[in-house]
Amino acid sequence: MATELKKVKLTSSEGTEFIIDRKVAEKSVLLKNMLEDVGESDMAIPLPNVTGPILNKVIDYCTHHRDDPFVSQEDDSKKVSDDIDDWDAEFCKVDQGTLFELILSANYLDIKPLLDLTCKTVANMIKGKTPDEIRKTFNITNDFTPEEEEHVRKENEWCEER
Amino acid sequence: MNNNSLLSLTSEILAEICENLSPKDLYTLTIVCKKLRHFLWATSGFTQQIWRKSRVLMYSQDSISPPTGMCEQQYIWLKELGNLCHVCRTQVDKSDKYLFWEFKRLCCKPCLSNKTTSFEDLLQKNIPERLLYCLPCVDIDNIDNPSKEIFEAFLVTLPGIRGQNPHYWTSDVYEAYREFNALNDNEREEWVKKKRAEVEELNRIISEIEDKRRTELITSLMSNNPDAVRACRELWELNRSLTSQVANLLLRC
Repeated sequence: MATELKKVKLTSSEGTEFIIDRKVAEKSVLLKNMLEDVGESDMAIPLPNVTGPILNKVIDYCTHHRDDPFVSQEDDSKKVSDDIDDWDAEFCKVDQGTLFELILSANYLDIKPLLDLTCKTVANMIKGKTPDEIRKTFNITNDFTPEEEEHVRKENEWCEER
Repeated sequence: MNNNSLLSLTSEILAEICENLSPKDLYTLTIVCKKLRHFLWATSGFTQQIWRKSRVLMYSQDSISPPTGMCEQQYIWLKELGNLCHVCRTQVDKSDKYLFWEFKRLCCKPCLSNKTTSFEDLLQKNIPERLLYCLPCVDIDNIDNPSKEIFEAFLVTLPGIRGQNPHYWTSDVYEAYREFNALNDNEREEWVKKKRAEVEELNRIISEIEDKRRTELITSLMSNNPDAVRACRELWELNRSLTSQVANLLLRC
């Protein structure tokens, strides 16, 4: 049987089983290495760090991009965050909690293009904003006292201490 | 529980996000909260790498690295982002010459003359000459001569030129003097060597940056007025060949 037709079983943190094409699973470097190590097996691979709904999203992503060429780890040449295509942009239209869980899963499963995409999406939520807008966007408390904030701002301007 | 928020991400993932941001956005992040401040204001290799990548991403032709001892955060501020005089904090026009790499400061002209002292005056104040020779200075007579800029566009920079009227950043000189005085003779030797190396390093950066600026200047002049530029260049070539002929004659004497 050709590699593309082989199936792989995954279980999410709550025990939901997912059966996917091996080729889709291999978008994850973690799974790819595991599958190579284990060889032929019908055993489900447990993914205790990934919940069902998130795993579902990740599988969506890997299925859509199953035929993309593999990008090497250190390819900094084309890191422009405006180059997200329509499908990917639509894919990232999720609530922030989901977005961060996707980042964590992409990192854990070692799916570099998904990690890049989700990180770019977060970066786009930061770009051009003021500190206050960023705090609002990410629900961050300003833990500087007014004096500390003044000091930090001064430090940022590299001004003379007077 | 709270493990799906921006602040709960690992340093590696935060770095991954930051590498998509401009240095200006990184600066904004440093005042959002203490955690991000701590993360982005560090001088560790890890954090410096984030700033370096961001600088290269944003200013792609910017291949010149900061001088030794200067962090990426300060470098990008001096080079691209800063628009305030470091002394009086008034806004300064970008086109104005007010960035002094020699002093690692952005500074308006009135403040420059207030904050610097001439070579002669420092000698009179008993600052040792050998100390001044290893500290950075600018030629104050030559900082705003517009024709000089165009003229210089055709000249090769000679690092270390002190010019006619060298001025030193007064407080830096006194700080160096204090350091110098606290040392014994052997240590002073080493210290002077180290300072001189620092100045040479700064000069290297200055000339790299100036060279680039000149190339850009020539390119823009070329596109506006190719004939004039060609004429200038011919004159300069002629001048250069005359200079070398004179030099050869002198050598033979």
